[in-house]
Amino acid sequence: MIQKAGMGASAAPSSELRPSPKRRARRWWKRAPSAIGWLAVFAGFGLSTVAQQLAEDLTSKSLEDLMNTRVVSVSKKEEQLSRTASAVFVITQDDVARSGATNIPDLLRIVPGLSVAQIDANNWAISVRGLTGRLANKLLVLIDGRTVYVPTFGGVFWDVVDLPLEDIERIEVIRGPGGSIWGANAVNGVINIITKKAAQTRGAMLVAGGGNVDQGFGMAQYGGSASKDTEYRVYAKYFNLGHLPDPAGLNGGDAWHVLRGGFRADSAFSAKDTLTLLGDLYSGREGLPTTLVASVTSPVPQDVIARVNLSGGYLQSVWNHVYSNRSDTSLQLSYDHYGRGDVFGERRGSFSADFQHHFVWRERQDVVWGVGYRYSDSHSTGSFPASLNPANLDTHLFSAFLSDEITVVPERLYLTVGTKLEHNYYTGFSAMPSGRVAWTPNKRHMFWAAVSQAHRTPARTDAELRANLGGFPGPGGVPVLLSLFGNPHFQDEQLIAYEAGYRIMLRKQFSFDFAAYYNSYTHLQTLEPAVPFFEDAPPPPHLVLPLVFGNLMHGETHGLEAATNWKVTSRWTLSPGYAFERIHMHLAPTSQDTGSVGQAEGSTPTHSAQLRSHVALPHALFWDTSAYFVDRLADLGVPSYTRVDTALSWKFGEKVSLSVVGQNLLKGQHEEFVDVTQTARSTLVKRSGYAKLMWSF
Amino acid sequence: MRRAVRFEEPRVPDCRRHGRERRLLAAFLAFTVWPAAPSARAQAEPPTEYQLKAAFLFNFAKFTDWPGEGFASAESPFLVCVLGKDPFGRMLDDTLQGKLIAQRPVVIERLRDVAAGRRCQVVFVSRSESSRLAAIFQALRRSSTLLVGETDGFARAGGAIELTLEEDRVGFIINPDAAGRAGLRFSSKLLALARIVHDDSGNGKS
Repeated sequence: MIQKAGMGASAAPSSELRPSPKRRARRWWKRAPSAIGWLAVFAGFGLSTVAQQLAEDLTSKSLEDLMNTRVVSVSKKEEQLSRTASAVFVITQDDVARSGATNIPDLLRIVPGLSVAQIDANNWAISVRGLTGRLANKLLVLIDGRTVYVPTFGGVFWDVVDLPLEDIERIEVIRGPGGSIWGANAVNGVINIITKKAAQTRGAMLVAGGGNVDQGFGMAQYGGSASKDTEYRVYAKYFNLGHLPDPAGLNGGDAWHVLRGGFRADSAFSAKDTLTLLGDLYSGREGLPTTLVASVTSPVPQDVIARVNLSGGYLQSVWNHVYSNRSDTSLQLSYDHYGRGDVFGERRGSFSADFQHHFVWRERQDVVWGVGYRYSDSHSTGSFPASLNPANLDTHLFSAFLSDEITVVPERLYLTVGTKLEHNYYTGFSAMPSGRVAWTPNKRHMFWAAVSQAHRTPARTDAELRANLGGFPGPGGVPVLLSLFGNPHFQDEQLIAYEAGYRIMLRKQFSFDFAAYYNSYTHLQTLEPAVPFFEDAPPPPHLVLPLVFGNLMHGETHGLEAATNWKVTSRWTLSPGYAFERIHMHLAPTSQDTGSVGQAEGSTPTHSAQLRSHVALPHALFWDTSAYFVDRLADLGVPSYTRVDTALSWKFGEKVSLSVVGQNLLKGQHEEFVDVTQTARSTLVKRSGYAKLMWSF
Repeated sequence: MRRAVRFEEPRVPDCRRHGRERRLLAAFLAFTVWPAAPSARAQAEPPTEYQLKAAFLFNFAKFTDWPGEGFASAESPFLVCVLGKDPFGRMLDDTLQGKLIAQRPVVIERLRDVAAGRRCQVVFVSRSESSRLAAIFQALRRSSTLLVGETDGFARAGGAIELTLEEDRVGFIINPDAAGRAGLRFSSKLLALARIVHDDSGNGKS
């Protein structure tokens, strides 16, 4: 404001009189104090006008609108950023609303270092810092502290990770091993989706929209109070996504729809206790373009469109008890069940119990420790292309963790040490220690470094899979079948990660977050040929050429990520991001694997970048644009692409908003990923748009 | 439904200006007025806690009926007073400046002692006074003063309205017994949106 004042207030004298330079200089000298005086007056008017304007706007709002208005609490944000000794990216409510995303995977694209590649309309390959694929297994995903990864293959089925995006409070993405708190599977990163408390979603809300790909979606939600201390919300949502084109331009067959309903209830039943209950149920169906082998006698893999029925649900309770401001505990119980009509035909029910205690000891140590137990029961019918052997299996997982944040120098230097200990069904005990140090020279800068170890423990498919990949008629008319087998002695994949980072926040206008890492992996999965054998069932008798999972690959990945948030003006925010990664893998001398090295090295882009822009226009109009660049995937033959999404939204008061969103605007269609397991064939992501109306009352 | 947008022209001292200066001045005024004009600016930055609470205070005053004897005369202004350490800064002045409540102009005062509060229509009791609430309620008994506070339990202890901050939204609790003692009547609109509590000790009239 003051700079702008300078432009006008240092006004030149009248053009009619042109005094000599010396006299002009004297005159300027005389006029300076008054010019500065006017400068101050105008600047003062400018600033006070702004403040008055805000006050005017607030007093013209109705009481209901005032109660729905959110306030900004600067200190909370500052606290969140400053002391975490990890590469954290928080997707805020505003980011969610502005991204124009209608599902969680599209939301995750804005995080540098998190690679999101859409395989087809209902499949994604999402991973942090490399080693990705449809069945990527090194990322732990949680919703309100409940794990949603599938123990069957150790990864996430993204088509059933869904909830109303309007109910998301924030998504914390931690890049780097989170094993010492979150356990095995948090090898490369942790994504924690946190939903809003029921008290924050009071009232009714209706969302409806449709477009060319997102053909129809809607959500209805109601939040209220059941009693003085208990708030709840219930919702139902539905979407129907149309098919995408396959590389030949034909109908990809991957259309799908899901109906889901859920609830959340929060109760502060005493001054020191809160109880939260959450749950949902879903049912849907998707088309899955895949490649399957029909039988021994027709072993050539066929491209088919499988019809997969999806269903499931969960119930979760979280009880927090506060003993004092130095000690609190949390007990979480959950049960979740899913059924999936794919080649495995699996139904799985899991029960988990987790207890955590957080306390401050002797003022300098902030300790969190916990114990957990998970029981999981899986039944699968299997089919010729893929099955699990044994078909049914139940497993127990025990875990305990301890993490201590030590204040070495108050306000300046913190050291966090911790470890998690797990006992799993396949490989027994594993320990995942980590050490992190955080240095904050002042409130604006923060440096951190960490060393951690993480394990990726075996999933059912690693140990018990049988997948028939193809075959050919062999000598003497005996069919030959190429099959993939799990290895009951499959070992933990291991990681030792060295990371460092830097964070800066300048006033409220500019923040920059930088992280660099070097990950050293051992015992990574390979496919090793084994001795062929004859098999009678299913008939006719045939020769099996087996490939068995081994742990004979090791290597390293290294890279860096940077994210910036820049408030250019009070109405325009820019958020650029960039990630760089290089992967080098090697096989052990005894390995006879042929494809794993190339696949690991070439499935992740070397460079990727994002740029998001948010503009608040006059008349309650908002315009958000995001651009993403993803480098080519060499091993998969996927070229580099640039994607531009844009969203324009109108807000009518606090209650109604209308948005028009365009996605993938640059190119008519492009491919993002090819899954080597061929369990899902790629279709092309195409230019799309939709309109959405949101109405609260 | 669009919100009505109004902005005030800054008051420019009357002065003779030459053409070029006038144009530069006009350009400069445009820079100061422009960010203030569109209502979207207010939306681009969410208000702070006390900006919002000041707006609530205005609404409380708007939706309350004061008895005639609460005012010294027909011409006396509507007094809004702050007792204790003022957390609003300029915001209360910005919010209430030039407004009329009960057809009287609003005047803001910062109180030095409690007894002076009897003249005020609204007294905002700041957090700094939280240990002296009982004394404050005793001193302001039987005066038609609307006591608004923000400490935990203010309403239950005998204050008429308690402002709360839940997560990132402001709400309020009303104690109708306290309001009744002061001879004040709330509009049903205010009562419908508030959480209602009653006196802890169950005192009726005093």
